Amino acid sequence: MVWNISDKLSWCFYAKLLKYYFIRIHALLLASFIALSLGVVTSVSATTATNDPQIEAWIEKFQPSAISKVDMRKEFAWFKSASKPFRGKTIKSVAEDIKTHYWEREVLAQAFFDITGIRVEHSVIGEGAVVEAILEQMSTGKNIYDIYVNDADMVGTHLRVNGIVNLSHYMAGKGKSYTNPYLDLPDFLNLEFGQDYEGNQLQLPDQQFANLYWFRHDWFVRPDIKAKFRTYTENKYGKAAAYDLGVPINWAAYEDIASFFTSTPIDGNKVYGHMDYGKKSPSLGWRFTDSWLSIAGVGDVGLPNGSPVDEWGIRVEDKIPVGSSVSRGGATNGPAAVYALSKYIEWLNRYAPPEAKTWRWVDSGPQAARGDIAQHIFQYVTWLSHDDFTRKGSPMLNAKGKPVWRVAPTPHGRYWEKGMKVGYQDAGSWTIPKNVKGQKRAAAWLWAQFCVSKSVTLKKFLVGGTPIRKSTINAEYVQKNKEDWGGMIDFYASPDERKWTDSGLNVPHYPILSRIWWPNLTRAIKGEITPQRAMDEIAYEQDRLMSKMKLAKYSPILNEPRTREFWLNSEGSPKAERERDIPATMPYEDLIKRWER
Amino acid sequence: MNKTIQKIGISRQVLLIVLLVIVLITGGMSVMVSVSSFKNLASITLNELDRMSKIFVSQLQTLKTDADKSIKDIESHTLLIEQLEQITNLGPYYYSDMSLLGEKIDESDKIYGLEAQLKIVQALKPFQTAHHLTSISLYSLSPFNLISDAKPVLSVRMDKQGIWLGAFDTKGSVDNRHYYFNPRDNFNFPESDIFNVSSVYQLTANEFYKRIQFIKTEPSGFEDLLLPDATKLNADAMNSVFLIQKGVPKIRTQAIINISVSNPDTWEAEQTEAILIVLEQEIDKDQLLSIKQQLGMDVGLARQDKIFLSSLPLDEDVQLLQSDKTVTGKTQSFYYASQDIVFSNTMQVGIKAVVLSPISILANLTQSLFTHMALLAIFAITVASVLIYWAVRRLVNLPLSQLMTGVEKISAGELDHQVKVLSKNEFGQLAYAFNNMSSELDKKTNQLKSYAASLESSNLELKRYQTTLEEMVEQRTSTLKSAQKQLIESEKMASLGELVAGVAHEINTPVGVGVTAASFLKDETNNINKKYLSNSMTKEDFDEYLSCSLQTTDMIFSNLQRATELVKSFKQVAVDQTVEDHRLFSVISYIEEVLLTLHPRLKKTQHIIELTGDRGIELDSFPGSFSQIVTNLIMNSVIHAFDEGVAGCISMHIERDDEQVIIIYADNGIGVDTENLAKIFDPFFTTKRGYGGTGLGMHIVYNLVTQQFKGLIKCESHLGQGVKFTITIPVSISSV
Repeated sequence: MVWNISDKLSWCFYAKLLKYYFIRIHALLLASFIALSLGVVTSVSATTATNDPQIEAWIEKFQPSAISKVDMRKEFAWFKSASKPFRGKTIKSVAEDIKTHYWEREVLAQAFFDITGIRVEHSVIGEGAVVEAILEQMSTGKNIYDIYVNDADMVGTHLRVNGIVNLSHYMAGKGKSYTNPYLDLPDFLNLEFGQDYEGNQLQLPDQQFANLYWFRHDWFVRPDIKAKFRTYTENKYGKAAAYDLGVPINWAAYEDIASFFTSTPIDGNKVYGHMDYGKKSPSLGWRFTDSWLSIAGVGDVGLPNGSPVDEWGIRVEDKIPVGSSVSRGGATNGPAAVYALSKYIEWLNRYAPPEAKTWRWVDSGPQAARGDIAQHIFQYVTWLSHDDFTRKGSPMLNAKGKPVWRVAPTPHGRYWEKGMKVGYQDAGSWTIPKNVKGQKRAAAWLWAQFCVSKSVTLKKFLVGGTPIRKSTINAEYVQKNKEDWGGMIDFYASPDERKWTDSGLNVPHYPILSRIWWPNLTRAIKGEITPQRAMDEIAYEQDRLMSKMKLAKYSPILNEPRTREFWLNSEGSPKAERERDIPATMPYEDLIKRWER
Repeated sequence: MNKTIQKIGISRQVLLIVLLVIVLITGGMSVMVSVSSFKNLASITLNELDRMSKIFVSQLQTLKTDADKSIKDIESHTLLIEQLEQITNLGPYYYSDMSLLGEKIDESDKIYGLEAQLKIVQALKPFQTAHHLTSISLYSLSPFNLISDAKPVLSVRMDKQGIWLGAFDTKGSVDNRHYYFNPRDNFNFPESDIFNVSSVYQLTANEFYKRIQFIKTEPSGFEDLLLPDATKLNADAMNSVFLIQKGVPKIRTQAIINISVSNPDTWEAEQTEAILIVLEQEIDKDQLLSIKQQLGMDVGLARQDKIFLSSLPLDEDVQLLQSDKTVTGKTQSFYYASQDIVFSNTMQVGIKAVVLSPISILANLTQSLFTHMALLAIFAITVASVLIYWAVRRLVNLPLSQLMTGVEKISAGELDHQVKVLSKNEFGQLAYAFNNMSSELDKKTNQLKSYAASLESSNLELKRYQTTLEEMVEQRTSTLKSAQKQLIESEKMASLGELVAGVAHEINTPVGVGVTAASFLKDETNNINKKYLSNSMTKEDFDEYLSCSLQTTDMIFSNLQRATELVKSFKQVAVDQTVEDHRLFSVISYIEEVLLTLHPRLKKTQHIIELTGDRGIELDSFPGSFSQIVTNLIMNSVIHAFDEGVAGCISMHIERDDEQVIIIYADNGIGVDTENLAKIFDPFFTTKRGYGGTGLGMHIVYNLVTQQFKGLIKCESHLGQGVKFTITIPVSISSV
C-alpha cells in the first residue's frame, strides 16, 4: 500500500521522465543501430587491431563486468583514441572519503592512465571539504580541481548559481567528440538527481547510496524473540492491540521495537534497539537535511521532494523558494519538524548505545556491524560494504557467509502521507566548474565518463556497494548473488527505489543553508534549547539567508509572513500536530515481494 | 752691605722672570691651541658633514632596502601570491591550453580577476605606507613565454593619483585592454560578500566596476611605466635605480615574481616568471625635511654640482657646489659634503647626496673660541703671578732673611742664636743646620774655656801628687795590710766571742737550774733542821723533806751532767778553732757538732737544716777551720738569705769523689744577683752592714778553703733562687 505510486503528481513526474527517456532511448537506438552496423564492419578489425596489452590486462582485471569483453574493448579503445591529445597531461579530481572513491583512486586512475596516458590526481577528502572547495572554486575562479564528485544535493545550488558546466550543452557542443558513445545515459539509475528543472544534466552520478531501514533479520525471525515481543506488546497495548515483530511500517512500531530490544537481552547479551550519531559536527546536519524531516512527514506529497513544501520545510512556488518558516508557508519549524527532532533526541537518549552521542557520521557508519544493534532506522547503505560487515568471521555473516541483516523500506513518521518521498538517497556526481575550460575540461570529462563506464561500474559496485547503473543491478552476476546484499538489489531493482531521493532542486544554496543546521541541533541535543526553539532558529536563519540571496536563476523571493494558524490550517504542509500512529509491522518476506514486483 | 741686597728682593726678580716666561708660554700656547682648534673644528665640521652625508646616503639606501624588503615580503605573502596566481591565470597572457588562445575572456573570469586585483590592492596597502612606496605597479608577464615578445602589461597600480586596474578582453592579446581608475579618496574596499558564487555568474564585470566606483579612464601620469621593458631584468635579483623624472628624484625598484602556474604542456603546476613588480619611492622636500630632522643638518640632492632639491627654504637658492667644500646661497654660505648615490653597484650618473652646514656656525664657534682662550690666558697669568709672588715670598724670601739675621747675630757674637725652622725644604734644612752650627759653636766655646781652667789646676795637682805619691802608696799599703790582718783577727775573735757567748748561754741554763735547786734544797734542809732542832719535826715533815730532797738532787745532778756534756763538746770545737792541728774527723758528725754550737742562734729561727751524705766520709784536715767554714756559711744564710720570720731550708750534702770531698751547701733564700755574686768573696763585702755583718765572713771562708784546705769554692746563685756553694777539698791535707 505504502509502496504504490498512485498519486497524480508522481505520475506526472514519471510521465515526464519517461518522455525524456523515450527520446533518449530513441536516439540511443539509432546510435546503436549505426554503431552496430559499423561494428559489424569493424568488429573483425577491432578484435585484431586493438590488441593493446594494457587494455587487455584491464579487461581481465575489471571482470565481472556488465558488458562483454568485446564491448569493453571497444569502450576502452574509444577512450584511448579520444584522449590522444591529452596524453602525458595531469588532471586533478576530488571526491569524498568513501570506499568507492578510494578504489577509483587506487585502481581506476591507474587504468585510465594506462589506457589514455592521462595522469589523474584523484584526491579523496571529507565531504564537507569537497563542498568548501567547489564553493571556493566557483566564487573565486581558482582552478583548485578540474572536476569534482559533488553530491547531487547541490543541484539546487548549481542550477541557480550557474557556476558549473551544463553537461547536456557540453555533450552536444564542444564536448561532443569527447563524449563516450557507449555512455548510455538512460542506463543510469537516478539521472534526474543531477538535472535542473529543465532536464539539463548538470551533474553525472558517479556513486549513489540510499538510506534504508536496517535490521537483524536473524533475530527478527527467531520464534523466542518474536514471542517475547508479542508479550511485550500485549503488556503495552493489551491483547487486542498486540502485534508481531516484523519490519516496522511506522515510527511507532520502530519505537516499540527499539524499546523492546534495548530492554531485552538477546542470548544473555545486552543489545540496543536503535543506532544513531549525535556529535557536534557538520555531519550531524546531514543526519537531518538528508530527508529526515521528509521521513517524519514534514513535506508535501510529490516526488522527488514534495511540492510545494519539500523535505527541508522550504516552500517552493514555481521554482522560487518562498520561505521555510511556518509563517511564510514553510515547515522547517512546524509540528512535524519538531516531532522529527524530538524523536531523534528521544531515541538517541533512550535506545541507542550511550557512546552514540560522541559519534560522527564516519564513526557511526560501521557500528551496526559490532553485533549488538537490532535495527537502525537511518542506515546509509554505503557502509554495508565496509569491511566490518563483509570480512570473514564478522558477526554480520551467518554460517554460509551470507548477511544476517536485511534492508527494508524506511518506516514513516506520523506526518507522512501516501505519495510522499519515502527516504533518502543521493548520488555523488561528476561536476565540472565553469572555470575549467578547453582541453582540461575535455580531459576531466573523459575521466568522469571512464569512472561511470559500463565496463567498470559492476566491479565498482562490488567494491563500494554504490550502484549507479541499471545494468549493474540487472547483471547476471549480481542477480545470482543478490543474497549477499541483504535486500539492496531488490531495492534498487524495484520501481519504489524512485521514492528515495536527494535534497533536490528546491534547496537554493545547499552549502550556505546546511551550515545553519548542525550548531542548532547540537544545542537541542544537549538540552540547551527545546526542539521547537532549535527548529525556529533554523527556519528563521534559512529565511534570513534566502532573503539575501541574489542568484542567477530562481533566486528566492520570500512570502510575506502570516499567522502560524493560517498556514497550519491550510491544506498540506505545514501540517498541524498529529496523534501517535498505531504501530504496524510487516514480515520482511511479504515486504520484499513488493520490491520484487 | 746686607740692606741693599734685601731691597732688590729675590722674589721680585724671580717673579719678573717667571711672569715673563708665563706670558710668553701662555700667549704662545693660546695662539697654538686656537689655531689648531680652529683647524680641528673645521676638519671636524667637514668630517661630520662627510659622515652625515654617508648617513644620508644610507637613509636613501634604506628606502631602497625597504623596497627590497617589500618585494621579499610580497613574495612570501601567501594570500598575495594566491591572488597574483589568480591574475596570472585569468590574465591575457596565459591560457591553460592552446585551444583557448584568442578566446574571449569569460565575464565571470573578468570578475574573478577583478576580485583578485582588489584583494591585491588591499593586501598591498600596508606595504605602501610602511615602506614609503609612492607607487606599486604589478604587470602580467607571459608565463612559460606562451606569447613571445609579450611586453609586461600593467594589471594593478597604486599611486598618488589612485588605483588603476587593468581589464582584458582576449586570451593572448592585450590590444583591447582598458583601465579602470578610482581616486583613492573615494575607494572603499567592497564588502566581503559582493563577490559571491551567485553574483559572479549573474552580473557583468562592468556592473562590478560601477559598484566599486571605478571609472574607465585612459592611464596618465606614468606613461613610461605603461609598458615597461622587462627584458633587461634579471629574474633572480631586484634592480633598483635612482632617477629623476620631471624634476622629481625617485628610487625605482623592479623585480620579477615567480608564480606557480599550470604548464599548458603538462598541466602540472610549475614556478614561472609571471609578475613584474615595480616599486617607486619618490623623494620630496618633506622626506628631506624629515631626514634633516634626524641628522640635524640640511640635506639636498645635486645633479652636475647643482642642488635641485634640498631641505633649505625655497628662497635660499644655493649656487654651484664649489671645490673648496663650500656653496653659496642667497643669505649665507655653507660647508657641504657630498656622496655619489650608488645602487646595485652602478653609479647613478651625476646624482649626489649633499649635506649642508652654514659657515656662520663655524665662524661663531671660532670667535667664541678665541674670546674664551684670551680670557683664560689673562686669568691664568694673573692667578699665576699672585701665586708665584706669594710662593717666592713664603718659600725663599722669608727663610733667607731669617738666616741673614741669624748670621748677622752670630757674627755679632750672639752664638746661641737660633733661627726659626719654617719648612722642611732646603731652606729648612739650612736653618736647621745653621741652628746646629750655632749651638755647637756655643758648646765648643764653653768647653774650651773650662778645659783651659782645669788644665791649669790639673797641672798644679799633678805636680803635688807626683811628690807625695810614692810615700802615700807605701803608707797605704801597710795600713791596708795591717787593717786586713786586724780585721781577720777580730773576725776570728768575734766568732770566738760569739762561740763563747753561745756556750755561756747554753751552760747557763743547767747551771742556773742547779743553783736554784741547790738553794731550794738548802732552804728545805734549814727548815727541817729547825724543826728537828725544835723537836717539832713530824714524820710527815721528814717524809716530805726526804722526797723533796731526793727530787731536788736528781734535778741538780741531771743539770750538772748536761752542763758537763756541753762543755765537753764546746771544748772540742773551741780547741779545734784555735788549735790548728789537723786530725781525722767524720765530716757529718762534725758538722752535727758544729750545728749544736749554733743551736742558740738557730733556735730563734724556724729554718730547717738538712744534712745528707755518707756518714763514713772522713777528712784528715783542720776541724777548727772546717767548723769556721760551716758556721760562716750558715750564718751567712741566716743573716742574708732569709728575711725575718721566714722559714728557710738549708741543705748540706757531702759526697766523696776520689781523693776529694765535696760539700754542697745550698739555701733557698733570696739569692744573690749577678753583680753581687762576683763580689761575694771580696773582703768587706756585705749587703747587711749595720745589721751586724762585717763583710768578712765569706772572705774568711774563701781564704780558709783555698789557702788552709787547699781546695776550691764556687758560688752559684740567682736573685730569688737561693744560693749554692760547692766546696771541693782534698780528703787529706797532709797528702797535699
